[in-house]
Amino acid sequence: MEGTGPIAAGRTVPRRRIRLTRGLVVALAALALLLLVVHPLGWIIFNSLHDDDTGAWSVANYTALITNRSLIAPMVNSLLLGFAVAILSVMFGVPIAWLVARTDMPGRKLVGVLVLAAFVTPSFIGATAWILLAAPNSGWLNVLARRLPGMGHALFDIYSMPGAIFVSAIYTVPYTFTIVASVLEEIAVELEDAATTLGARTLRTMWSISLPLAMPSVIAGFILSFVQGVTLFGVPAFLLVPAGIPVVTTRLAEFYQLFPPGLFASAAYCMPLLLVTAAMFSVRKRILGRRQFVTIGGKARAKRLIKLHRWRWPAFAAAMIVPMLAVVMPYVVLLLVSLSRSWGRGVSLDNLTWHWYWWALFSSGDTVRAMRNSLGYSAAAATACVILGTAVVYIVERRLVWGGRILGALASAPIIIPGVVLSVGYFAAYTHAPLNLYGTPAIMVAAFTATFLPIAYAHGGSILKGIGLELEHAARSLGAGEGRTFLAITAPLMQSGLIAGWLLVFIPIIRELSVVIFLITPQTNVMTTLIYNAKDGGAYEALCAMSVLLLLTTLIVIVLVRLLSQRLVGRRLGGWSRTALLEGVA
Amino acid sequence: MSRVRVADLRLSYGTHHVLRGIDLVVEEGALLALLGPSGCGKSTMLQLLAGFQQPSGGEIWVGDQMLSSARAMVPPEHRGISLVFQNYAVWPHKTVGQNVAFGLQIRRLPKMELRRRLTHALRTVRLDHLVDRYPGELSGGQQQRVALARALAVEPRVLLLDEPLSNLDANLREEMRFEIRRVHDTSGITTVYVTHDQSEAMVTADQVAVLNRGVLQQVAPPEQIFEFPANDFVAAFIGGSNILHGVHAGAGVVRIGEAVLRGADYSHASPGETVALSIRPSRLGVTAAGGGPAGQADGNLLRGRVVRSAYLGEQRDVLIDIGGDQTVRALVPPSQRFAPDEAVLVSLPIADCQVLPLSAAIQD
Repeated sequence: MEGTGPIAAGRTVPRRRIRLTRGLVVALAALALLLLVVHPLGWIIFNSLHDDDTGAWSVANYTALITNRSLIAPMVNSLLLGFAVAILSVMFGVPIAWLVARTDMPGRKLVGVLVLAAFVTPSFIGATAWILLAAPNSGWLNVLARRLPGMGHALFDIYSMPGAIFVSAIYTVPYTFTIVASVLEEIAVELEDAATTLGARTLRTMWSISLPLAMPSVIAGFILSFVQGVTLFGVPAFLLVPAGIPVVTTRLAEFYQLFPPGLFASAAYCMPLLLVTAAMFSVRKRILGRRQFVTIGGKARAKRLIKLHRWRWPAFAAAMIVPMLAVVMPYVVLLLVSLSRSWGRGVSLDNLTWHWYWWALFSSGDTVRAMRNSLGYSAAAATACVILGTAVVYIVERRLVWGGRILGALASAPIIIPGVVLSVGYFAAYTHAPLNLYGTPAIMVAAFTATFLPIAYAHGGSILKGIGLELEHAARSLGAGEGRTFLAITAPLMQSGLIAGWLLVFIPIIRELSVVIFLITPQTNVMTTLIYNAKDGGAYEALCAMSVLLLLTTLIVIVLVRLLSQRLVGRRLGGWSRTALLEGVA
Repeated sequence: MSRVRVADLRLSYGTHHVLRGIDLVVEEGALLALLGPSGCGKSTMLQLLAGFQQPSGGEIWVGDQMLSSARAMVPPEHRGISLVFQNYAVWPHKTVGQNVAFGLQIRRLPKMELRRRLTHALRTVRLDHLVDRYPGELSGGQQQRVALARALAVEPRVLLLDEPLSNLDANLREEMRFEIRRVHDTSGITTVYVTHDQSEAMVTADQVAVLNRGVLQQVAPPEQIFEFPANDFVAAFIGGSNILHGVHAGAGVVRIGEAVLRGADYSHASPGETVALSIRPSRLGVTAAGGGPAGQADGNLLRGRVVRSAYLGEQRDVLIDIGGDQTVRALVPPSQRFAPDEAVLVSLPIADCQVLPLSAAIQD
């Protein structure tokens, strides 16, 4: 037999080099996690045990949690908001998911796309639109209602708990919808056929086979929606603060408006929020842990859709309610107001103007800078998320080092940390020497990265699990080392999935408000914080123009990345890697 | 230089023993089939040979180089051992040509040489016309051949095949058996072939090694393993033989309940030990028990009752309860008909009976 080339078997092993590369990657990942997650959280705990006035060790901040009424009321309100949002999200999300995934309802694609649009829309921008629609005096719906005979008063008051619940819920439905729909789509036809052959009718099959199979995802959707409701900052800040109803997140912000700011008290006040989210996610893990959902797939075959017959169009109308309320109406209002000289004068030709866009893009340096910052920080943070998330996933899944799972746990830990809490932690950790990053892009990118790392990590895991170990082993047995195998085989196979993953974190980052709320300076303002702060000025026309610009920017990035990934994937993987939106969040 | 020698190879997870001391030699250029039921440890064995797992004890040698022991391991990429996977593991993002050329590129071969060996490998598996296709555009059999070509192109010292045909449909499987043997004959690479299908092992291998519960039961050429199984497990697994358990009562004599049966004795057992009497279903004779006397002088006879009888076209497959919780299966001419519960007389020609040791004796 001929020689086997330079790889000639029996060559001594450059073991040291393997160890070095591996060690370096692991050490860097561990350091990054330490700085991004452990350090800020450590400061929250440390600060929470100190007194604001004296600076001494104290548990006074914690005793205040159970004695101080002004701290208890917001907690009750937050829980109320969370439960109401979760219930509504499931009530609307599950039926829409079923209609889109399993029936012959017309316009399934349209509904799906509009729900996606609702997901992309920052909920505080939705809240802005609903202020314009349903503010008690000037809201357009109320203005219209007052013209009705026998109606002298306002019909809606968006500045209220029901108002906040309503707006939060319509932007949380996409979470439940996506999780449940993806499971309903995955359920193997065989499982349903088995019931049908035993004599079950379609609806009966749905009720006793498909829905129970999807049940874990319904519960997951409920929990995720609850956490959303509890941790949202923008919507309550817009709708509940003016009404004088405090929730935990807005109350946290108040600590920073005090003089001197109640930094240590705020740290302690983070704890109930952290506990609630942690508890919710542990419940979710328990439920999902035992019955791994999504793995109920069978062969990819065309689904048999359930015929709705004469209910097709009524179903469509019902499915469109949420998209109408969350996307169509708000967008129409945002567009119209942004194009008006003064929105109070209503819609007419002489009221039409490009002024606000002109102002935002050319006269106001702030907006352009904020847009640049938003794009730059989001892209940087999304990239960092994907790189770090993938590295940690690889370390954990391929068991490169002992204790890799600790890194995995750290990478997914921020999922239980509400944005406002993380903001508190970053403020405490990185606004004084030796790590004073206040006012730098670094602190913004770091905060964004930490918040959305769990999504990138979970997503990376699902991609890596889809790549059989054999594909890597095959390369190893042909003479490729660990690093070469990763670069030549694993990375290219993950590529299309990682691009989708990048988008999956980019979208929530660019619309994120709460995690940077305490970290911005005029120089590092992003679009979301700019819009948030502009609200106090009351210039709704400018605010709407900025919102539209933010949404347009997001949309353009989505389209560009989609095009890019399509070109990259080409024919070779055709249909090989399919990524569901929200896979990571779910 | 590519003789594979495995010495006292062990792998345990805590108290769970996957491999319990395997000793095995594959001569240079030979094709050894590693045969056993699922969970017997044969795939683990392959993982150890390829270097993806470290043994808890024992050694693996190729030629005069030690590749694995509990203390030291040569990593997979430096072993010169190619592995073909059950699910092919053909990289979906590379064309057929790129897949096969990968190992050659790692070896930094000159362009001309790379071309030559790529073409040669693809010709060997008759895929040279599909060099620019992506795996997604190939059939299962073609993908399997890509995996084979990819493994062969680097001219490894040893080739490992992990159930390479189990994902193919029956027709293709038959064809690929001969294909693999042909490829082995042309390349002459020392090969270990893991399978749970005994006919696959018989067709392809020079030597068959039967593995059960982490213990090597027998290593022998196909004919020998079929004709002279080492114990009851091999007899049942390879030949589908009837195994009747009884008590050894002197050389070539086994007492099963009331009956005394004789056969060629390979058991090396002493009287009183439990042994197995093995006989193939096709060698059994079955007659209706017309009140004839049992235990005639000229052969082994057993009384029994028909449990079920199935018509297979060429033969009739009859399952007979012979008492003492034991059954025998007989393949008889289809002209013979039996009703369930019918009393029958089973004859077991002495020349076709083998007295074998129990494989359980070498367990644990």
